[in-house]
Amino acid sequence: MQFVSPRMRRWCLGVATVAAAVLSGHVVQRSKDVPLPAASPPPSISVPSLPTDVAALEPPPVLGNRTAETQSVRKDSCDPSLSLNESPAGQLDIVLNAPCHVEKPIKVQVDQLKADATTDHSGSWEARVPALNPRVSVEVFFGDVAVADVFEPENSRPEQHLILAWTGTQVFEIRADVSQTSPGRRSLTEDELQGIPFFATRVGDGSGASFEALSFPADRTGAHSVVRLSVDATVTTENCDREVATIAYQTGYLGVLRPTEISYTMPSCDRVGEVVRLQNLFRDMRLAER
Amino acid sequence: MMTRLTCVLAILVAFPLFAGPVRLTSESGGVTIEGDLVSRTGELFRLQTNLGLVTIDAGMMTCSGAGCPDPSELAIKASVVGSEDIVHRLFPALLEAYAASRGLSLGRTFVDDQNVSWQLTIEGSDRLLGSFDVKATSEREFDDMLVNGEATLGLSQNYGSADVKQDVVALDALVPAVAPDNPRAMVTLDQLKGLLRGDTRDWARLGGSNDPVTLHLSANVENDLSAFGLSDVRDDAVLQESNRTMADIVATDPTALGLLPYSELGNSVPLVISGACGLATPPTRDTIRAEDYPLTRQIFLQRVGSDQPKLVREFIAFSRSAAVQPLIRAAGFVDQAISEISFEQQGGRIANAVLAAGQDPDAIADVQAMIGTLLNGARLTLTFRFEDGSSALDPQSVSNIQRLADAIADGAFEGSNLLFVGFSDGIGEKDANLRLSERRAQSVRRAVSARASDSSVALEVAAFGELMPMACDDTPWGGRVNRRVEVWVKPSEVTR
Repeated sequence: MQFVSPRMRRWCLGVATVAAAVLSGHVVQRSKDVPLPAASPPPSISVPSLPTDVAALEPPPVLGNRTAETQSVRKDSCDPSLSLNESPAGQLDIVLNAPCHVEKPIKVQVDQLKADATTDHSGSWEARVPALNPRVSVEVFFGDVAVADVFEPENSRPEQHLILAWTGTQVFEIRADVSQTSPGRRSLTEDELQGIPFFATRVGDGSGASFEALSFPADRTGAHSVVRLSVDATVTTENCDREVATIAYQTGYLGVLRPTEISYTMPSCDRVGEVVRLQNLFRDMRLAER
Repeated sequence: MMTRLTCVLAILVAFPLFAGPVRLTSESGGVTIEGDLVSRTGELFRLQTNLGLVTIDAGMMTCSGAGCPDPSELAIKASVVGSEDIVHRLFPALLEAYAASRGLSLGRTFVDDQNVSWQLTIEGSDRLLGSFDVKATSEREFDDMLVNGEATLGLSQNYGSADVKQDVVALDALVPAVAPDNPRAMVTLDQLKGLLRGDTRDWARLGGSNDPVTLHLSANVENDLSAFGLSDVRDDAVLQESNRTMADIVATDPTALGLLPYSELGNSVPLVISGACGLATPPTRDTIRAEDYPLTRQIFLQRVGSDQPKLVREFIAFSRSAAVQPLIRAAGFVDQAISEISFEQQGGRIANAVLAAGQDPDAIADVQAMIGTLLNGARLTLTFRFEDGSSALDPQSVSNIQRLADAIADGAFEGSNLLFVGFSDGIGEKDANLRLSERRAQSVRRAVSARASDSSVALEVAAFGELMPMACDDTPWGGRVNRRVEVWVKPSEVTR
């Protein structure tokens, strides 16, 4: 009988943890679709049809600069409100409270990232997103109604982000492989892998625009780990032999988040079910110099 | 009639009618030229001005006016080839640094793992200045594409032929690598050769576990083996399609041994090679920069001809600059920034010199004299070395001449003196070696002085022959490491 070595086990754990973190974000997101008994009947309100392009909308009113934990001023019980809270690993928690927009589609824009989502039975929607800039702009659109806020994290620190943004069915998924390093050298531990120092999230309900993000600290002095980053795409009957387009972002060497347009022709349809791994889309993370 | 029409069309194609007023403005806005655009060849505009006909390189200028060509026609299109590791990790770092220095925006289009296009645009205007189509190639494709003019630029670890212009833009090294779990930290060169040839097939022969040695090599195995003077390798070696894959396998398998670039070690660790005499130099950023590590390799930025567009010429020049060095380092390669290694950090080398002197009173006196000269100084990471069996500087050292001259001109050593210190290998007569090391030091000093002639920094020479070996002389690479001219910086009042 052959046993898996402790090192191999840690390696697998690293891979599994990243996958679990990404999927948990997805599950959490999806779980909001499950209808639950409402505490009180939602108010009847008519929501105009959504415009197809967020950019075509009038700029929403900005409620003002916020730092740390903030809450929008509510004019009356029907007005939507945004709560933006700082969270670890360079993330930002967004809580939308829109009691008059129950189970309604919304369009969310966080700086350059867009997502389509749906409010839950109480008109709420929550997400954790990477804070890509020192001043993060969050806008949520309900048809021609919009609410917006800006947020300046107090504990801003350099993070390395990588993001995939797409519209419609997801084709690509971020994959991160972390292995342990030599004994005596500081490295990522299982505890750190659970949440800090990196964080994975997925925003969007699949009805339109979605994005997936992975964030790492920019530097970890004393550590020595290379995190392999790649992108997987499963060949399906829907995408085989077709060109798929999406946008990826990664923080560059100088700290600037840079877009990459992906224009990739999927393998032929006799390879349905295969997983294509793109290894040069994202550069590997070096968590510290050797 | 038909013939006449054909003739007119031919003239129109050959000499397009550009006539129209244009105004060319430099990036800073400080230079403006107005006139009628008569003709254009690439970025070269021929203008009829008040002063007559002038030809202007308008590659980096803004054109306004009715006679201006469509901006998209002015965008340059360059192609870059090289190995996957280099074109997808080093080139982006160079280009990102260049874009930042020029205040340009950088975008990327990903086609597949081998083909990526980078776009440089003017910030705010979205005007495309140029694109670089990057293609990962095999060595054979590389040579064909560069020499045939299909590629504008090439990045390679191999020194190009005589008609290839090239600059060293980064350093790397070939490193035997094992898993962090592997208890073996050092092998002799002979032991390593035994592992590669298959004479040694289990780690127990080297004092380790009873596990068999699993050897991993890259597709570029012939180049790797020649570094060790080997022409054959054990026939059950596993050939890996990429260094990245090899590094991941080696990092997690305590029985594995791989030959990897230092820049692509991933989470594997180096196996230090020692000589038969016991001297060893581990691969580190400093030892590779100083070429003290014997398997150091240069990465050349290559091109054929001199007719590159201005944007490409600027990029080439920038790739040699100090500003790009931190990004080269961030990309995992070894940069060429000049830094200092203090005397105190070189205790091991000094100890080797003392041990090598033995009980010989003359040798001990020589070592004392050397220590007296170098004390209070710091060695620069830049070192000059020579081609095998030749007094000619190797490619990296040729590049170092200008690099050092530039640093002197930039005032990096203001208030200090530079001491060129010659050393030799230990083969042959001691006195002859001393004279040879002094000649080499004088030669390097003259070459640097010729390029930094108006500097106030004093350039002086010392030589110590075979006094401070860095490697064993029993191998060609050991002798090569020992034949060197080091550069030491000392406060001007204590040079002598």
